[in-house]
Amino acid sequence: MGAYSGLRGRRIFRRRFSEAAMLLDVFYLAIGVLSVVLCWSFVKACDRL
Amino acid sequence: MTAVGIYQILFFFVLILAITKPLGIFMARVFKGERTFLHPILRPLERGIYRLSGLREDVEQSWTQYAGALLAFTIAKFVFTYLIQRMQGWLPFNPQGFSTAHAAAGAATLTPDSAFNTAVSFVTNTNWQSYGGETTMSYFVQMTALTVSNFTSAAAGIAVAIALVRGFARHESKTIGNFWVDLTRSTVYILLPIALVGALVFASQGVIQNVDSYTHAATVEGAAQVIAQGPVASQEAIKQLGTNGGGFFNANSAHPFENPTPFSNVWQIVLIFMIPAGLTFTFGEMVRDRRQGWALFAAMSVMFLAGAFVAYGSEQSGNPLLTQQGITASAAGGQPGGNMEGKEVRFGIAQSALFATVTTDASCGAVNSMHDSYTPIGGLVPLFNIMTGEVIFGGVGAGLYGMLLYAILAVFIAGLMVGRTPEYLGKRIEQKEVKMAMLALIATAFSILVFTAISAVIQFPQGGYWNPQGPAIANVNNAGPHGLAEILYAYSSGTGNNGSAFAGLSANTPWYNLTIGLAMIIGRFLFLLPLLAAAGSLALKKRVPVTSGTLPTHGGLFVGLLVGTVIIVGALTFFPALSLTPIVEHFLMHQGRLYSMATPFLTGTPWL
Repeated sequence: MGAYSGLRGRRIFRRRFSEAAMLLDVFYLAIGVLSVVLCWSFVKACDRL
Repeated sequence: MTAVGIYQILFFFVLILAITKPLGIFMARVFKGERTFLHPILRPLERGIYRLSGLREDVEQSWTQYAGALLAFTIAKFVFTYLIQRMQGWLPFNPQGFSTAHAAAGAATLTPDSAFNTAVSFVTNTNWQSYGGETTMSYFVQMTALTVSNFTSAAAGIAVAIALVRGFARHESKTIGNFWVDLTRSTVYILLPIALVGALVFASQGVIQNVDSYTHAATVEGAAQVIAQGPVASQEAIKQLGTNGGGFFNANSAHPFENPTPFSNVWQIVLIFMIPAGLTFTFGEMVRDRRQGWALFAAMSVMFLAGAFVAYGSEQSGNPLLTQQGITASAAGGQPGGNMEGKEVRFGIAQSALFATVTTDASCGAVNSMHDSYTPIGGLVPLFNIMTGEVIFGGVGAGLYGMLLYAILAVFIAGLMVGRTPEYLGKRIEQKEVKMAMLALIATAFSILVFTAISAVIQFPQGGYWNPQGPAIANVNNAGPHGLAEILYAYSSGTGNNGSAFAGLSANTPWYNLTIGLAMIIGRFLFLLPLLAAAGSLALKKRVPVTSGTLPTHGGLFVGLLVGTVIIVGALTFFPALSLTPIVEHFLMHQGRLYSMATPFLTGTPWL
């Protein structure tokens, strides 16, 4: 986590991961989190049914 | 089939039967908060966890709160597992230097899509692996991210099953338990102690447990060989006990460091079935009618034995085309006969077919043989087991709540036939419960069939990001129906949270990693959440008295009805897809056609 925040961390991180890889990380993390969050809407829908 | 093979299957079944009652009683006591023989040692640990997390064990949750806690826990575990993988290069216990500039030769890249797939896979109790453990994951990742997920995802499954059981057991109650308490108790009293014993048994059989660098050896012929090492025994025990199935090594339980002896093989499958079988008794105990638990056990047993003997019989019969070539298919003179392709000699055909049946009856997914190499009917059994929701003992917790879903449908169908409002365990099964059961079934069927259909036709440019091989069907290993079966199996395994692979599909591409990942999420939550909703609805209801018109749900009639419901619902939903895959392959094989590797998909070049 620390590697994503702070200038030094970012520099270290970029040495290992390209910008494209970082974007992909954000993309896949977002998909995983959002799909589980969407399940909460499903819970609400089931509650109403 | 040979007599020895038949005895091996029956012996295994008797072992499970013997474990069911004592373990079931123990688990019921744990979830009722009663004292067990482990309390003097483990109660302080349980209390310490509550104190550290500021949790009150006497506060219960409604079903929506219970579901919310489960989802919040899943998100946290997903992010943790993803980040640990992507940052393994900076973390300790990485003697092979994976994800660093000085990675050992042969190391694979842990890409974002692969990390996504693995994170989803382990938090949903699927353990589908598009990576090879020994070439990709550091010991730190294996121990902290993957093994810990094996415990927590299994505990979450047990928790949900217990919540559903409380739905049946309680009346006029707004709550179904506390997710955090159920999660803690499952882990502390059930999974941890058995996994500890399990790991020691594995270690006694030769399963390795170390954090050494890989061993470099010279073979007798003088070739260089790298022998992978690792903390395997500790992961192996929970991998099977939690019906997770993710192997430390790519070859999974076929690898001699994971599963070295016939004894360790039997211990593996006993661990897989132990908790799911015990939970049927726990169910009977918690609803205060043990016969109800035995009825579920009986239905599961009928389907288990049928599947095991069909798979074993088919594998022992072997491939008729090889028999025509003069190869002996019958077991004689120390030769196993039958179809030994993709199987380990130390296990033989019966132990391999039994393992394949058990791992797909449960949502485990560990393999000790390559399912891709099975005869069409031998391969059909695992596929059908997964498609019907893995309710034959099933995953830890998942098997019980899946079977209760079918029980709801069975009494609903019976009620329709006689024109009465269906009842189960003194609760009226009404619109809400049936809607929820159908929603769970439709969501999973949709995921399997739609993702398979899309992957069978979708085109990608060769060398592109999503699927460098080009069209998604270019990733299959075999032509014809067998190739389609590889795709169908992958999405069935993902959706069913099984995790085993037909082993013929190159699934480590962004397209397959993403879509199988989504299939795992759908299969886990769109199946489980409606059942939690049903639990909430059932818990609110009043108990209705048993009358002469009530369908008894503890006798042979109900067992037959339940088995029929599972098979008919599965057959109706998936028969067309299965007809295009193992069923047609079976008939084509007897016509003299097999489907070789590296031939164009669906063109079916005759092999002989």
